[in-house]
Amino acid sequence: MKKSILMSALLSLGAGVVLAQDNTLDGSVGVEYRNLSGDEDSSKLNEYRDLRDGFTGDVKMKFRWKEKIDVRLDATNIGLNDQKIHLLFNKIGQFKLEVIYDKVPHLFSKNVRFGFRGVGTGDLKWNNGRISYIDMGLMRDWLKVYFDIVAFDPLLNFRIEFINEKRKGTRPFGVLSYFGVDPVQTSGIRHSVIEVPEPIDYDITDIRFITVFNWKNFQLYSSYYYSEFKNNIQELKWDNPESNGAPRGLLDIYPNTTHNNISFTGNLWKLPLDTKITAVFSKGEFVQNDKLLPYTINQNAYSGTQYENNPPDPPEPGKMKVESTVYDFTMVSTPLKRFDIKFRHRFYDWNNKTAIVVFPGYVKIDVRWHEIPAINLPLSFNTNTTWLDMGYRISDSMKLSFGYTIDRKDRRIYEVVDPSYYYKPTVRVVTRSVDRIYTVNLDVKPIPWKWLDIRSSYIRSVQRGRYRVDDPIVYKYWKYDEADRDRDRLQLIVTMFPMKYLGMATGKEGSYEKPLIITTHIIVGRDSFVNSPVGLLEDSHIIYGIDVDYVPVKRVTLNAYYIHEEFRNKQKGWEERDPNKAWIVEGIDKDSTLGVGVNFKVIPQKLDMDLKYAYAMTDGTIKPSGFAVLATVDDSERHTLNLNFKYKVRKFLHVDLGVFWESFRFKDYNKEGFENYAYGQDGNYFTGGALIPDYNVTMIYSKLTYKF
Amino acid sequence: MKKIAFLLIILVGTAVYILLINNNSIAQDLEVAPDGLPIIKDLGMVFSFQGDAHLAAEVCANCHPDRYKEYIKSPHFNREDPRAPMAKFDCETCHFPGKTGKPHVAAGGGRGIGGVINPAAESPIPVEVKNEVCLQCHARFPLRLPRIMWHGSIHEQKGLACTNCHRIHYDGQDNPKHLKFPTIPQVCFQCHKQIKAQVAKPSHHPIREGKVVCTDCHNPHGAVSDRLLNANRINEKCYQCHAEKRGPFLWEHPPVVEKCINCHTPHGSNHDKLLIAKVPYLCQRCHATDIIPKRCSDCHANNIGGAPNFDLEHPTRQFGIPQDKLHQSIYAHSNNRMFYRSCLNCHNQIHGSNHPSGKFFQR
Repeated sequence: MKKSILMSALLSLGAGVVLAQDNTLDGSVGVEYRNLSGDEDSSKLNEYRDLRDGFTGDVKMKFRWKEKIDVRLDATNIGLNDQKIHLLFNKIGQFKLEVIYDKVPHLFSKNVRFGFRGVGTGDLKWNNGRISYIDMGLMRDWLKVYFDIVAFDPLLNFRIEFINEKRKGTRPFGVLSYFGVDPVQTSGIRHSVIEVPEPIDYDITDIRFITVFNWKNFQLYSSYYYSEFKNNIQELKWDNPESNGAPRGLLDIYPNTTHNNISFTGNLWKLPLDTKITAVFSKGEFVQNDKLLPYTINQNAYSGTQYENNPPDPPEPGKMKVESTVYDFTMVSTPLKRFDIKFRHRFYDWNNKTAIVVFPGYVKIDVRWHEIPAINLPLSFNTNTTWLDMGYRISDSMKLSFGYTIDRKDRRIYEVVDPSYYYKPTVRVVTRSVDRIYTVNLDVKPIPWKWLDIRSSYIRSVQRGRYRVDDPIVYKYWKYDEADRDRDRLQLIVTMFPMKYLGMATGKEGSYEKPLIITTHIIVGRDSFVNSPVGLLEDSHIIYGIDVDYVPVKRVTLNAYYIHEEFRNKQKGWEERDPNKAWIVEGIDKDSTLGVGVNFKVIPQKLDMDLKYAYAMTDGTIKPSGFAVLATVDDSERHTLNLNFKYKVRKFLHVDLGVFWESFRFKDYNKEGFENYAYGQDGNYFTGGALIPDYNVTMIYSKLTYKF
Repeated sequence: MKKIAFLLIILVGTAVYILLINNNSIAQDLEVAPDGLPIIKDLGMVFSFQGDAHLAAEVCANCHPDRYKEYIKSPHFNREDPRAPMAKFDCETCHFPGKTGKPHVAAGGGRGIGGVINPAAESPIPVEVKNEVCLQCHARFPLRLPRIMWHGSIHEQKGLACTNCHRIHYDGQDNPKHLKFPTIPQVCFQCHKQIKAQVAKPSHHPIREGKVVCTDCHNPHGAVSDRLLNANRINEKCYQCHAEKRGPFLWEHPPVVEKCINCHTPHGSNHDKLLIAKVPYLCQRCHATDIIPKRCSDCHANNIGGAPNFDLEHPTRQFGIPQDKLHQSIYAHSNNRMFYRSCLNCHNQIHGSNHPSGKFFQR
C-alpha cells in the first residue's frame, strides 16, 4: 500500500515534469559508495541508522510551473534501512500535499546466543539445548500524508493528517523461568531470569482533522484526533529451559487501544490595552477492551501435586476507559507602556473510569495460586495550574519580570486493598501536592545591533503534599515526584557577537556577517527534600558550556563547543523500618561533550574541506556509605570524526570524498567479566540485549552528485 | 461550583481590567488601518498608502542586491500567491507596513531612515513590532505548529523575534521553513545548549541521526502544555510514538500514569532506555530500600564467613564470577534484582499490565 502510494506520487511528479512546458526544474542526484572497516556488526553502531558497505543515493528535486505549482522531492539514504522519501506537491494558494515515507530502525543487539525457537512470534519453544544466534531489533515504517487546503484563506484553512506506522521486530525482554519450587530457597520460589525477544508486530494509525477559522481579530483552531493501536501478537508464551519445556510461562503484552481527542482553541486579540485572550477546551478518551488471559497456563500452579488450589477464570473488567479534559485560559496584556502582565489558568483531568474488579487471587510468576484478593486500582488525578507573570521594561534594552505559579495536583484514591496485606504498592498516599513556583527573569540586550545578549532567570519552587498518615506502613510509599521539596535553579545564558557593520553585501548566517559569536551558559539547580520517609535527601545539578563560531577570513569558518553536566542524587536508607538500613548512597552522573568544526574553502568555488570532530563522555559513580564504591556506572566515550572534501568538477558535477571514524567504548559494572552467556540446562540465559557493545569503525565514502 | 465561581471571577476581573485601566502601551502604538495592516506611530510613520505607488522590489535591489538575489527564490517572492508579500506591496509589505518606502530611498537609505522596519533579531525596534510584521499573515499559518498560543508563551515572554529562528529572505530550497540553520535542532541549540549535550549521550532519541526533530514534540510558537509540548500533557505526547504504552491497563503504575519523565529524560541519558538514573537506584527512589545491603549480616545471617542466607551462589553460577571478586564490588550483592535490567528483569511490565496476575507487573 505504502509503496503504491509512493510510486503513484513519483509517477505523477515525473509526468508533470515531462508534460509541463513553462517550468523550472532544478535539483541533484547523488550516488554514494561506502566502505566500512572495523566492528561494523555492533548493534550500537547502527542503533538508529544503517551504515554498511555498498551503494546508496539521494535525490533532491524542485519543480515549479509558472509559479503556480511547486513540486519537491527529497529522498535520502535510498535503499537503506534508514531511508526517507519526502514528496511535496503544492498548488500555490490552493492546496498542499505532502507524502513522507520514513524508515527508522532500532537495533538492540546482534549475534546473541539464544536457546529457543520461534523468534518473532509469541510462542517460544525450548530448542533442546541447541543454541542459535539471533539479532534483536525493530523497524518502524512510517507513512505520513499531510493535506493542507488554503483555498479559502483567510477565512478558513483545513489540514488533514494521516499517519500509519508498522512496527515489526523483536526487543530484548527479561522474563522469569523455572516455575517450580526450590527447597533451598527460604522464599520457596527460585526464579531465574532469562532474556527473550519480545515479539513486536504493531500497526498504528493516526488521523487528524484541523480547521482554522479566522474572522477579524478572532481565530478558532479546532482539531479532531483519532488513533488506533493494534498489536498483532498479544501474548508471549515461553518454555522452561530448566525442565525441557514444561511448565510454560504466559505474559500479556500490550493490548489494543484507541484514543480520541477533540480540542478547540479560541484567540481574541487587538483588544484594549493590547490584550490578547486565548481559551482552550479539549476532551479525550482512551479505551481498551481486550479479553483477559487466564491466570496461568502452568499446570503445576493449579493441578499438580504441589498446589491444590485451582485458579478460577479471571473476572472480566469491562470496558477500560480514561477520559481526559483540559481547560486553559490565558490573558496577556500591556496596560502600561513598559509593563506587561500575563494571567493563565490550566485545568487537566485524567479520569479513569475503568471498573474496579475484585480478583479472588492471582498466580505470582506462574508459580503458585495466592488466594489473596487482588483489586485493580484505576488511577485518576487532576491538576490546576495558575500563572501570574509581570514584566517591566526598565529600558529599551532591559526587561525584568516576575512570575508566580501554583501547581496543584489532586489524586483520587480508590483504596480497597486488604489492609493486613503487606504489599500495597499502588495505594496513592499523597492526595494533594501543591508546588509554589517563584521566578525572576532579567533579560538584557545593552547594545543594540552589537554584541551582547544576556538572559538570566532564577526559580524557587516549594512543593508540599497532603498525606494519608492513617496507615503506618502505607504512608511510606509516597512517590519521588510527590515528595516535599524545595527547589532552587539559576540559569544564565550570555551571547556575544561583536558583529561587523551590517553592510549592503550581506552573506548567510554564521558567515562573515558575524565573524565571531560566543555563547556561554550556566545552569545550577538543587532540590532539597524535606523529611522524606523514603530517605530522599538532595538532587543537584550543574551544567555549563561555551560555544564559539569564528570566521577569521571569508574562506574559513571555525566552530568549537564544550558542555559539561553533573547530576547528583543523595538518598539514605529506611532506618525507621530497619535500623540496619542506615546507609547513605550518592549517585553521580557526569557527562562532557566537546566538538570542533572547520570549514575551509581550499580553492574558492572549486574545493571545500569540512572537518567535524565530536567527543562525548559519560561517567557515573555510585557511592554507598560503608560499602565499596561503584566507579563504573554507565561510563562511555564516543569519538566521531568526519572529514569531507567536496570538489566541483563542473558546475553540474560534484565529487565528495570523505572519511568517517567513530569509536565507542562502554564500561559498566554489569558488563565487567560477563559475556553473552548461555549456560547449560540448569542455568540462566542471557542473550545480551542489555549489553552495550563497543565499536571502532572507519568508513570511507565517495559520492558523485549531478546537479541540474 | 468552585470552578464556575473561579471562571466568573476571572471573566469579571478581565472585564474590569480591560475597561478601567487606561494607560499608554507599546502595543497601543500599533493600530489597525482599514486594510488590516498596522500603523506604527512611534517610528514616525504616517499611515497612508499612496495608491499603487509602492516601490518595486527591483528598486530595493539597487542597494540590497544580495538580499534580492536570495529573496527572488523565496516563496515570499511569488507574485502568483495572493498571500505572499510580493503579491501585495513588494518589499514594503514588511519593511514599510502601511506606507511607502520612498522617503527611505530619497534619503539615501540607512537604518531606520524613512521609517524602514528591519525585523532582524539584532534590530533595536521592539520585538512586538518585528513580530507583528510576520503575524499579520502568519498568525493563521501553518496548521501543524499553530501560533494561536504565541501570546504569553515562554518564547514570546523572553522577547524572541521570529527572526531569531527564521530567515525571511532565504530561498528555502533545502529548508522550506526558512530556518536560520539547515536543521531544526541546530536552530534550537542556539540557546538550548544543554540539550545539545544531552542528545550526544549514549541513550538518546534519534535526534543526532535526523529521525526526530525538536518540533516533533515541541511547538516553539506556543502550546497548551508545559515545555511547549504540542500535546495536552507530556504522556499524551509520548503516546503518539509509544502508543503501546498508553493503555489504560488493568494494573497501573502511578508514576507512569502521571508523568513519563518521572523515570525518563527525553533528550538523552547516560543510562539505558533514557532513564534518569540507573536501575535499581531509580526504583529505590520510591521503593526504598531493600536492595542494597549494608552489612555482612545482611547476606550472611549474622554469621560472617558462613554461608550466605540467600542467593549469593546464584550469580556466581550464573555469570561465572570468581569467588574472590565477590566482596570487592557490587557482585557481592548481586542477585537477579541487581543485574542488567535489575528490578525490570522480573517486573518487566512496569508501564502497566493487562494480565489478571499482573498485579506486580511481572506478567
